[in-house]
Amino acid sequence: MDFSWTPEQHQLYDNALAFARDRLEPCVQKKVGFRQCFLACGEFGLLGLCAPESYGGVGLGALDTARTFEAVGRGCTDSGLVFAAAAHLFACVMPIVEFATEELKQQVVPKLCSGEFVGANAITEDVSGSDAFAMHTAVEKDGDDYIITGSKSYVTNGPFADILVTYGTLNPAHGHMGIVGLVIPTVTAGVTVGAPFEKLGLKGAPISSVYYERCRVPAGARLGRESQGSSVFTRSMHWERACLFGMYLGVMDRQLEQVVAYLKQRRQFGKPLSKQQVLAHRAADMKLRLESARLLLYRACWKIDCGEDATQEIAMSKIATSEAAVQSALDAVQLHGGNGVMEEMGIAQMLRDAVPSTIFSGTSEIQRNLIARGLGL
Amino acid sequence: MTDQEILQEVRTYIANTFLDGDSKGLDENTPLLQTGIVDSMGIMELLSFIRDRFSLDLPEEEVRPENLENLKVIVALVNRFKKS
Repeated sequence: MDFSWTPEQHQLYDNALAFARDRLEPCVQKKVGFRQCFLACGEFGLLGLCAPESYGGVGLGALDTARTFEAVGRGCTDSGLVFAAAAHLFACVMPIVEFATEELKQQVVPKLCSGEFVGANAITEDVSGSDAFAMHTAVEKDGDDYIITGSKSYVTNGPFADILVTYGTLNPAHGHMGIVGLVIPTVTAGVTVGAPFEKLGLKGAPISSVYYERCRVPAGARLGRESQGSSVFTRSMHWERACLFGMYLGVMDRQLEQVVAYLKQRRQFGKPLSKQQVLAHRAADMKLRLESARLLLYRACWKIDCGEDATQEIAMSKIATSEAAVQSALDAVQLHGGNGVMEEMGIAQMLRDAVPSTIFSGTSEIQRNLIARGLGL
Repeated sequence: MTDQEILQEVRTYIANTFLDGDSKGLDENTPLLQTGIVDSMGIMELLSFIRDRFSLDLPEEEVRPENLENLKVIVALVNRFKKS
């Protein structure tokens, strides 16, 4: 077992960190707007990290992709924006790369990788959250076309999306195998995007509902076979649950650097906080939690790159990373005392951005179900 | 192996894996997908079982609901793709 990185991998990490600090962060601070930030991400290659080079991507594997998101998460304080980029890549670009027709791939993937197109994944509905395949959005066949009617909720990137990877039920009698995945441009007649939602954290990631009223797309818009929609979605969630969470490792790195600096600098009772053992131990626990999550995440990504079934590893990694992000953010607030709840410290923002992580991409409860299932329970 | 033996083995597997061992009401026409007896993870487990148990050389394009929706069509699938 070799845990070392190659010089090229170090370079990739350093370049991504420099991009996040020197290029993306100024965009965030200047509030240049979502589209401009997305184009900057595209220019760096973030939006196509694991897409093949032949379609404008970078051609990285899961491990390098996750580590690049780790660097960007560390260097950019707008986790919502980084989350939006990751959702675009893993839940829209990758399903198209892996399951669309060659013609469709040529048509949209280069534009998605460059940031010219913003991509979104539309599966969740008001009535089907964790029970994702109990969806009501209906797909009917009409000659060679598909007609979609229904609505989707919590569509990340929805307000800016050009391309919607949408899932609907074609044949209810076939249960989860009756679900089909379709690539639908938002300009298609019958598509309406709702107003952006306000949410607790990850505010840099715009989110909305999307409505489909007898929206017609050709057979070439289908992802995989008609019965494969649930497999397409599951595969995209493998990418997202493993690689997106690299961002939270980076956030926790940044958070811990900030905590350590604060504990060394602030003095109480005649000595630095760092010399109060009870506080130093809390920081040590943050480090332990971070490194445990990091190992699980790297192993999950490595297994994906080996082409093996990584369902269990991904579920464990997702739980470990998201729950570490929440707990460590709470610890960081506590260690900063009153300063921890002041907006200018950025610590409160980290907490708000961490809370959704145990919910999106499959809740912690769903991940534990997957692990239990693997245990034969 | 007869059709009846194949059916019985798959029925027992489904009952033990997805129905807590209760095979009451599970006959050859019971809809496995529509009722959610076999869900999206379960289908992978079921496929893995029939591939290993009956040494199937099953092409990916045959993993279709029409071939998996009940025990009757699963038996037919096994017979079609059993390695000779």
